[in-house]
Amino acid sequence: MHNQLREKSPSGSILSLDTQDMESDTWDVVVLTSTNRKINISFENKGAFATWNAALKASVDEQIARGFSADLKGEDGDRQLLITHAALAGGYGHCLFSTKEASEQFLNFVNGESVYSGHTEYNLGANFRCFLFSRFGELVEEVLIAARLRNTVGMSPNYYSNAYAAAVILHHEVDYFQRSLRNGHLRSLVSECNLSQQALLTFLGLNFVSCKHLDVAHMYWT
Amino acid sequence: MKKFRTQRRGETFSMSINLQRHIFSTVGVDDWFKLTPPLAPLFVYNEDWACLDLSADAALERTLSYTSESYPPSSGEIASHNSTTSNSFMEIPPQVPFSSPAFGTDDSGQMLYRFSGEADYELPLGTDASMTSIDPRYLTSNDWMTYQGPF
Repeated sequence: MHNQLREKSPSGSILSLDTQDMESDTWDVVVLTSTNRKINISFENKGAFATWNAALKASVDEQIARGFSADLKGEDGDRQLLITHAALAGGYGHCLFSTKEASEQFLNFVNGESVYSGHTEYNLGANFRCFLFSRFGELVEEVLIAARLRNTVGMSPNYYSNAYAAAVILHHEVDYFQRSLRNGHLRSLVSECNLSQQALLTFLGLNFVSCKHLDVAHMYWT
Repeated sequence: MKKFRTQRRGETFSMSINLQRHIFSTVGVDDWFKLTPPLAPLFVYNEDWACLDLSADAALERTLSYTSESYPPSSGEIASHNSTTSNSFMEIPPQVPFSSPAFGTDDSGQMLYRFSGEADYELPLGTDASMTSIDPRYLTSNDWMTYQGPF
């Protein structure tokens, strides 16, 4: 993904998507599906365009969950959020891996008036996908770490069941994308697009193996 | 039976990404600064620069800080700046004839103070850390400031 960002910005002045004081970015991402559904992702960003920006992350999480995730919730108990996050990882994956093209438009306003920004490259699509990928990776890691801590003293049975359930959901999601990109519905994107989809496939493969080695996930899956 | 939202797998997506960046610059060409009477703006001098003290206390409207003691400005005069405030400085290159400011009134009778009336150049900001909240790209010598009372 980082390679893609570099490759797509060969020369000229590149727009930074981190905003400074007295700047505010309004993102409006319209996703048109192959079945003619339209999903809108709209959010404002002040500060870093990265997953460590808590406000940005919360806003995008909510909209990815609404537009792309299965509606799964854990029952009350320790780490119930893990199940939501595993489903959310699937939503991020769905948005990320199923996108075949992205067009972009940038408008710069100073005190309400449209002003030329002076930038020659915007790279919005690559940066947005990079954000999706980063958040996807965070959620995958969170679920896997929780599932690996199964022998920690003092954890409640509820913790284990939620962690394992989350791992199973994640395994199911990752397995779907991996299979689909290899020889399923999303196969065409791998050859059509570029190396990034290949790289994502490799990433999925690593996490698939990691997930598969979890005892309970394996038990559920085999 | 409760229905759950599920993914519609097998779909592919086309994205249209629109980004609007809004920059709120309170100091710009044809922008106006409001001065609260009856005091004059604070000018701070050193060898190379004269500084006009701007308050950064509001997002959409800046108010000039001022003191009657430092006006009219004269070369070599150095006025203290209270570093505990959110004020920032706007530096005025010495060649700008700011020491002979033009005063006037607008149609409503409000007093105006012309920051400088010379060449069309950008007013740079100084090196004081507190200046960073003002974007120098939108400062020009033709800015005007409103003044609501006598100096």
